[in-house]
Amino acid sequence: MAADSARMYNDRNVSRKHGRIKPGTTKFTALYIFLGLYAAFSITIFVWVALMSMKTNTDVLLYPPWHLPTTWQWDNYVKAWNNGVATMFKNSLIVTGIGTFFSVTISCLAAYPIARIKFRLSQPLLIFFLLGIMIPYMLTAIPLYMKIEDIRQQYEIDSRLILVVLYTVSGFSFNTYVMTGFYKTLPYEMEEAAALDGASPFRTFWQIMLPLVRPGIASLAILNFVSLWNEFFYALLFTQDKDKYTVTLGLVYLDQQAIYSGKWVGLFASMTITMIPVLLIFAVLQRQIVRGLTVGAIKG
Amino acid sequence: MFQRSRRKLILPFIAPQFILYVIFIFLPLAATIFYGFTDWQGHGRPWHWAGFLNYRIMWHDINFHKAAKNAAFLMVVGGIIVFIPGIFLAWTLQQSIRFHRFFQFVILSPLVIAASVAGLMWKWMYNPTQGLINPSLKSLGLDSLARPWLGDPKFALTAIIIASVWHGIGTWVLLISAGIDQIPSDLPDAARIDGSSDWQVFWHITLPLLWEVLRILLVLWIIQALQAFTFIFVMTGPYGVGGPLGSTEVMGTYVYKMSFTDFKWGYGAGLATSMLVGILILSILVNRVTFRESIEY
Repeated sequence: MAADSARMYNDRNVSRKHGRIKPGTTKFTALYIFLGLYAAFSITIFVWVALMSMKTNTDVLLYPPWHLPTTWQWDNYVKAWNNGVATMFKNSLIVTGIGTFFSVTISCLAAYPIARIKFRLSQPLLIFFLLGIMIPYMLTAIPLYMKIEDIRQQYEIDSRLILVVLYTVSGFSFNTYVMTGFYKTLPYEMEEAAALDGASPFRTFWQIMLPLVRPGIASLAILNFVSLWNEFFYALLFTQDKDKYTVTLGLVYLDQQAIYSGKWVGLFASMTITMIPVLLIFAVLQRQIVRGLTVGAIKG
Repeated sequence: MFQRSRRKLILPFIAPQFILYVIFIFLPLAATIFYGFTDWQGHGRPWHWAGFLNYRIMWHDINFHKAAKNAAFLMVVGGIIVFIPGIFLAWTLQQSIRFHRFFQFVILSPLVIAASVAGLMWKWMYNPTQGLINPSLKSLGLDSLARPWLGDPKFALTAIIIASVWHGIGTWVLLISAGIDQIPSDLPDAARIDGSSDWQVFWHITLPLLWEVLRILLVLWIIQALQAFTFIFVMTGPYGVGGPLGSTEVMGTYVYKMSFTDFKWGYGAGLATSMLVGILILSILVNRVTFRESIEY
C-alpha cells in the first residue's frame, strides 16, 4: 500500500506537489533558462573531454579547445585501455562490489535486533554504532596504517583485500542508521503472527522481514556502491602496487604521468573510458535508481 | 516467551558488525587520540608522553590556522553553493516540467563519475592555456576575467569548491527532494486556493516544513565539508598540496601532509583529534541554533 502511493508520488506524470508554475509566465521561462544553462554547461564539459580524447598532443597545443581534431585518434582509446585502465576498472569493481555486499549484509543483520528486539543494550549499542558517522576517516587512518604496514613487512597482503575490509567497515554507521529506520516501519504483529505459526526467529527474519525491506536494501546498496566507487583516501594510503590501483587512484597517477610527459590525450581517453560505461548504466537505470532512493528515504 | 526465544538472535546478528567495528574503527580512534598526546616522529623512533605539547604547538602553528580557516571557508561557501541551488533544484524538479528526466540526469550524473575523474576534468578545464575556461572567456572578449585559476591564491579554493559541488550536488538534491516529498500536498494546495503566490507558498509552507530535514542535512554537510580531501588533493596536486601559498590547504590535507608526508605521527594525530572535536562542537552548535519548536498543523 505504502509502496503503491510512493510509486505514484514518483511518477512525475501524476505529481503536482508544490504547485505548478503557470506555463507562459516569466517565471516559467526563467526556470527553463536556468536549468537549460546548467545542462548545457555540464554537457559541454563532457563533450570537451571526449573531444580532447581523440586529438593528438600537438592538436591540443596548437588549437583552441573546441577545434575539432585534425585526425580522429581512435587508438588513443586502445592505448589507454591497455595502459592500465582495464585493470583499474577491474580493481574498482572488485573492491567496491565486495565491500558494498559485505557492508550492507552485515549491517542488515546487526540492525535487526537493535530495531526489533527489546533488550537493555539496544540503545547504547545503536549510539555506539552511530557515532561512527561523525568520525573523519583521517582519524582512524594513522593507527590502521601503522598496524597494516607492520603486518605487511612480514606477509604479502593484497591491498585490495585491505580496501575491501576498510570499505566494509566504513559503511557500518550509515547503514545501521538507515536499516534500523526501515525495520522500525514494519508492523510488530507480523513477527508475532509468524511465531504463532511456529516459525523460528531466524526464519521469521529471513522469510518475512527481509523481503519486506528489500527495496530499502537495494537503494542502500546503490548509495554504498556510489560512495565507495568514489572513495580516494584509503585507496591512496594503502595501495602501492600499480596493478592494484582503483579507478579513483589510478586516474590521478595517470594525471601525474600526463603532466610530466606532456602527453595529455591519453589521460583524456582514459577519463572518457571510465565515464562512458557508468553514465550509460546510470542513464538506463535512472528511473529505478531514483525511485528506489526516494522511496527508501521516505520510509527512513 | 516469544521474546525470549528471539533473544537468541541478538548475539550472532550483532557480533560481526560489533567485532569489526571495534577493531577497525573504535580501537584506531582511541589510538589516534592517544598518539595525539605523544611526540612520535616516525617509524621505529622512540616516543614519549608529551601531554598537551602537540596542542600547544598547534595553537601557534600558522599553517594550522590557515588550514582551519580554509576548512571553515569551504564549509560556509560550499554550504551556500550546495544548499541554495540544491533546494532550488529540488523544488524545480518537483514542478511538472518537461524533460524532467533529462534535467534529473544532468544533476545526478556527475556523481557516478569517480570523484577523482571529476576533479581531474575540472583541473584541466581550469588550465590557463589549454583548458576550457580561459580560451572560452577570451573568445567572448572577456579577456580580463581570465586568470590562472588554480594558481591564484585568491581563487583556487573557490575554484575547487565549484568543481566539488558540481560533482556532489546530486545527493543533496535527492535528499532534499525526499524531504519535500514528505510534506503533505493538501497544505500548499489549500494555500494556493486561498490565493497565495508560488513564492509565498514556498517561503511560508514548504521551507518551514522542510526545516527539520534541512537541519540534519546541515550537520551532515558540516561533517563532510570539514573532511574534504579528494578534490583538493587531486586538483592542487600531490606535490603541491596546499596549493598556491597554502590557500587550498584544509584540515584533511594538512593531517595527511603531517602524518604521511612528514611522518610527524604524534602531531598528525593531534590534528586529527582536533578535527573531531571541531566537528563535534560545530554539529552540536548548529543543532542548537537551528532548533525550532515543532510546528503544529
